[in-house]
Amino acid sequence: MIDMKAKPELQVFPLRLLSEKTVKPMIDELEALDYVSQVNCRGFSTVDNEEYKVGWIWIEIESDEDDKIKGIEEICIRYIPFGYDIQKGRFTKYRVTTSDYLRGQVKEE
Amino acid sequence: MAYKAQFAPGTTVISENRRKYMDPDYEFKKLRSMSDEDIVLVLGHRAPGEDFKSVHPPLEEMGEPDCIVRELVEPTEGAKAGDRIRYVQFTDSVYSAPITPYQRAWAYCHRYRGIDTGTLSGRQIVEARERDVETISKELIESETFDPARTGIRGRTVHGHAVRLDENGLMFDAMRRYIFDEASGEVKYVKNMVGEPIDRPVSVGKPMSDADLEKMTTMFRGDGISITEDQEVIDVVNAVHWGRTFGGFKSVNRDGE
Repeated sequence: MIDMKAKPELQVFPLRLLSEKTVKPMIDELEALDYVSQVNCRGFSTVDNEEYKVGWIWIEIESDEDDKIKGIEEICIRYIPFGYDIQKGRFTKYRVTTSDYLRGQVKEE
Repeated sequence: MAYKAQFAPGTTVISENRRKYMDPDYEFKKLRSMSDEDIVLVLGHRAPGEDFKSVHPPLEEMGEPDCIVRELVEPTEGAKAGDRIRYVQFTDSVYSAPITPYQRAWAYCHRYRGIDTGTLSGRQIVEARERDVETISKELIESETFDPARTGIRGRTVHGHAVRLDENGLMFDAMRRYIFDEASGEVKYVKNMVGEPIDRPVSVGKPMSDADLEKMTTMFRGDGISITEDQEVIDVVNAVHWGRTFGGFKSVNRDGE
């Protein structure tokens, strides 16, 4: 049975592109929080694939109570001194889609 | 009464900068100095010290036909020598770069002879004879229209003008032509305009602060000086828009408009 209930998510949109050097410890710290279940990020790399710039961070949380969001923001402020936008919602895929079946990414039981 | 060019409308500092850059009598402020070899390395059209290649003999040796236009127009240095046509291209970030591509075109057309310039959304190319290109590049890179962080010298893979800046305030460059040297705080070109590695890094100086750039830019921005603060610019834009939209459409039916 597929779990249809989606957990809430926070999207962090830094106002400048972050380097991997900054993002890695930030993600480690976010993942260490007990109410964060998953952290994803997206960005793009240079032509030679040697540098990756992160532009979006999605933090999946168990519940979206204000004090928990505050805990996450405290970490963000420390790592992103030049500012960021934060938004609550659902931004990444949380259940298997038809395309996944078409691509053969789901194993039928 | 002699006509005096007004160049651009407006009362804000942005409009003033536009007029300044377009006015050929105004001399660009020199903010940094680069050697000729630095320019040659960054452009990458020839090796430093190499002779200019030519596509025709010098004009003096060619024996030109009798022509009143040729007598009136003095050829540029590059044309005299018969140089190849080469180019230089700049990308300007939307984050308060000192100048924008379209204003570059206006400025170039008022300032330089023997050029062909083309505007795209984020970049501006200028084509000319090789030694003229080098002179123009030197003047532009050393001048106030160039910021090491927000302006890029890019021949290809130019995108990045509308991408967020990186942590050091540098415009994104997919080819990593320039790097931020943390020890000296300077921006250094490690590749030439088309992304080929060069013999030695070429420093283009320290990036300017946001506060300085806001005073130098020719760009109206919502988070800086907004276009709504300049009524004269809005009036002119509206007039041009009205003229373009309705001038061609049944203009005979619009008496007095």
